[in-house]
Amino acid sequence: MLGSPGIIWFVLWVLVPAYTIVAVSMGYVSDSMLPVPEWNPLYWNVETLTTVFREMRPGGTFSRVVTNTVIYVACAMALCVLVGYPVAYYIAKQAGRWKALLIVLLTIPFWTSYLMRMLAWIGLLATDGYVNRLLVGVGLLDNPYGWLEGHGFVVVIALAYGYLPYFILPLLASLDRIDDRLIDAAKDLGMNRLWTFLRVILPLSAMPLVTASTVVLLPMCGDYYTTTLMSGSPSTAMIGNQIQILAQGGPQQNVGASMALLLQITLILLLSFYLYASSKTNRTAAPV
Amino acid sequence: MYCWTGTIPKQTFQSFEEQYGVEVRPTFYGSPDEALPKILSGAIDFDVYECSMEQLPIAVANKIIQPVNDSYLSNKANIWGALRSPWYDAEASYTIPGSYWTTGIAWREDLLPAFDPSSFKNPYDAYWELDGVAGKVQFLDYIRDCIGMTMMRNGVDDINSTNQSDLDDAVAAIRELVQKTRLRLSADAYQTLAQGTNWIEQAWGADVYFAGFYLPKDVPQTVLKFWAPQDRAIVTSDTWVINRKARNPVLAHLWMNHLLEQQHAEKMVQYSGLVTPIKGMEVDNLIANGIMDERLLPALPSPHQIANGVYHAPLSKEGETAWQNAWLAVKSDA
Amino acid sequence: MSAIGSDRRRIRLPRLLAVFVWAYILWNLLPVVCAMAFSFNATRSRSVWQGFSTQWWSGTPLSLFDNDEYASALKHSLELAAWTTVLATALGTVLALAVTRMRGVSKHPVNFILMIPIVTPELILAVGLYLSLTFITAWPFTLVHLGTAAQVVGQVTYTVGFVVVVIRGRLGVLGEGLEAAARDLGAGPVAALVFVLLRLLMPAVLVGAMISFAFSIDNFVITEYLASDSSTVSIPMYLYANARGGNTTPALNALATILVVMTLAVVALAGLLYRCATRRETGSSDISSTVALGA
Repeated sequence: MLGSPGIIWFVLWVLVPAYTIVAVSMGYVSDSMLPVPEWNPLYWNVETLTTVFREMRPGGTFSRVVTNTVIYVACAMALCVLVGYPVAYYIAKQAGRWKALLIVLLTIPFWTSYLMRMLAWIGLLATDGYVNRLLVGVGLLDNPYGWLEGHGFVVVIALAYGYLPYFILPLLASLDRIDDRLIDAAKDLGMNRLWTFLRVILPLSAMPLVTASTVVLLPMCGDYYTTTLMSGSPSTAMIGNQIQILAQGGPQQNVGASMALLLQITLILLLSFYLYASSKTNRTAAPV
Repeated sequence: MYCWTGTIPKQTFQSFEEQYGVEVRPTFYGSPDEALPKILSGAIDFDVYECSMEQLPIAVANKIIQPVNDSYLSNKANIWGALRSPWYDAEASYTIPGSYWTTGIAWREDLLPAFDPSSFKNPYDAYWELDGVAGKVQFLDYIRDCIGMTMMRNGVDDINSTNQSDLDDAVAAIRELVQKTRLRLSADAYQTLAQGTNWIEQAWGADVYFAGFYLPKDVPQTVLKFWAPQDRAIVTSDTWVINRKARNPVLAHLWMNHLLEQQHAEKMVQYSGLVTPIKGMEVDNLIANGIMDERLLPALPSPHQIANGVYHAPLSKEGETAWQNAWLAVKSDA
Repeated sequence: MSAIGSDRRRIRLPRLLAVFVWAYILWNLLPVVCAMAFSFNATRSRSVWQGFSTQWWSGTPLSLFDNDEYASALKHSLELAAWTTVLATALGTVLALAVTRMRGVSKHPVNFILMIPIVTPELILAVGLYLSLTFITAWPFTLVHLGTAAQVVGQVTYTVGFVVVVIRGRLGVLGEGLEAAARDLGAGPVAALVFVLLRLLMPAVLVGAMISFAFSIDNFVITEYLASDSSTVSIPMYLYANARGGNTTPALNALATILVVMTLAVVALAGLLYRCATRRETGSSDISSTVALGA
């Protein structure tokens, strides 16, 4: 009884909208260019969905944005791991008396508006901005570089920068829970630092790393604003940008809904894999 | 009232409120593409709507708007003769004309001193032909403007063509331009031109007017140049329409009538750089009367341009779909 | 000798790591501090420092406090945040209590629904809500118009799951024993719930409210999709629309500064209150619940 308002809320504003995406995708568009959702599964027409899927494969209209999205997200996640893991590990295990301060400093970007943090870089990366001044000043560049003029690597760095706070905090929390006595035990058994890290700490970090990666993977896949702000060029468009054009109006809202649906299905598959992996680890690691 | 942000000055609302003792609650949209789905879905409750010309048949077909009643529109006589029964709305039964503007080439004379559009056989070719402008070129981030002008550059006469080959050629041409100049698509032409971020842009005449306000103080206004042809210029306009479910239909008519008065049209052109096609608003008049600066002569649509222009026309569902697919290809560089 | 050598090695790696960590933190904070500083720039530029002035904060027509557009965005953001905080906190608290008390088969599907908004990209939530609000012609969808109402619904939906996670975490710490103990002492079930549990839950509810506020005020995608017109533009939407504008002034930085300061102030305040409320207990802090969010 207590839960009914909340559950009704979720049914209305989560389940029904999710079903609407499916219904619009499986429906058609009227001659006056309004989508007609097909609510009855018996009459679902999967043609739009399969067409969109076909167009996403190499050579199709949407292949470029799919490739961009996969590459950018993969590279940004790799950067997250490369930068985030050492930071989280150090703060969890080695920071000593600095730990509390460092955690506070990490939470500040977590609570700072994502768009503000992008805005900050737009100022610094401008042609006359301080990044160019610095690089020209120390002689690394001869002329100011147009960072914001449509470069994929800038988008990747921006994504990593934007999502790292959301990656580090959950990672830090799980690394913090690794029992120090395990590490001490390894040392007592005569393992050196490198060996302790490889045989004890790294295996225990595997699942937290996957969790933290999942936390940032989901929003990154639906991101369209980072590339718009940091590049604005068609050549760096992501799936989100195309959904953005298609879903809000025009003659093909069913195509937009289909793209959203395909993206969601892909993410659900990835997520199930993650849940499967984590339940397996939990079972084997239960004694710890 | 649902209208485009930045088109109507505050005084116009105020004078209407004073004259009729009513309160006007304007709601502004950022672009027509954004407004239409909201109108169609009934998400917006409005009396009058500033409707873009190519949306008109959709609004009529979906029974969103009602015919106007001429007996409330005493100022209809002010409208230029040719537009009293325009091609998009025979006998002007649903609409009164809103504002007109041309789409053309805007450039900074100080940064591109050697550029002269008339030296090109097809001036739209300039974006593709000019050298040394990489990173300094921009097109409007609007589907019809961007692709339509590229079609004219490709020698296609009809900017509303839905031929797949015309659309493919346009996409290929834009892609070529992206490669050559790192073309940007954006709607802030007036700002980027004023700042010198871009040297040559596809822009609306009004952008060149606005750019004047954003220009650094040490740069003379005369460096802001605009070109649109006398014949077959790309002309766009919006119209005013009344909601079929309007709560205040009479006031809606009175508002339309209000806009057709010369004094309000003058305020409007000074505010937005857009021209209402009524008596006294001919470009030469505006400049002779000191309402607008002489430098804006090419940027304001003349009666001749309006009468002989090419317009974005409504497309069929299939045509609209073909255009959107071309647009998706442009926007993903694929 | 070899012992000293290995000692030296032992010191070097962590130190390198420490430098890396501090570099990361600087990399994170410095740009934002710079952007805030540029709101005090003496000229239009948002990328080159040309002296100190407060002209973009107030006093000139284009300044933050004298411009209608900025004022409207600020007001709208606060309005949305107020609604979202109240609704999401109330709904989340009740839901968390209900789910914790649930037994048997109903528990799993409910848990599943609660997780959906957390594991779905905002863009997809936004598209779904937008389509259902524009194309479903049945009650209560016709009741919620695009604009403020729809934006609040979207933000609450997005936020509630996180509130539930935080409060359930706290309920787990408290344990079921408390409620039973209160009943043993003679309080009826309703009184037990209200007086004992809610009082003890206060700190978690506070953190939940803070999260709702911060999520609402920083929310961009859902808010943008469900907006109707220029009076429903929030601060993040305004930032997005103008961040790359060629001639946007440092007033935009001032607006962003307000956004950041507001969020951080609320977070800090909630953290302090939480600490006061739970001082007598051990092992919990605002940070751990913040961290719990992501996990």
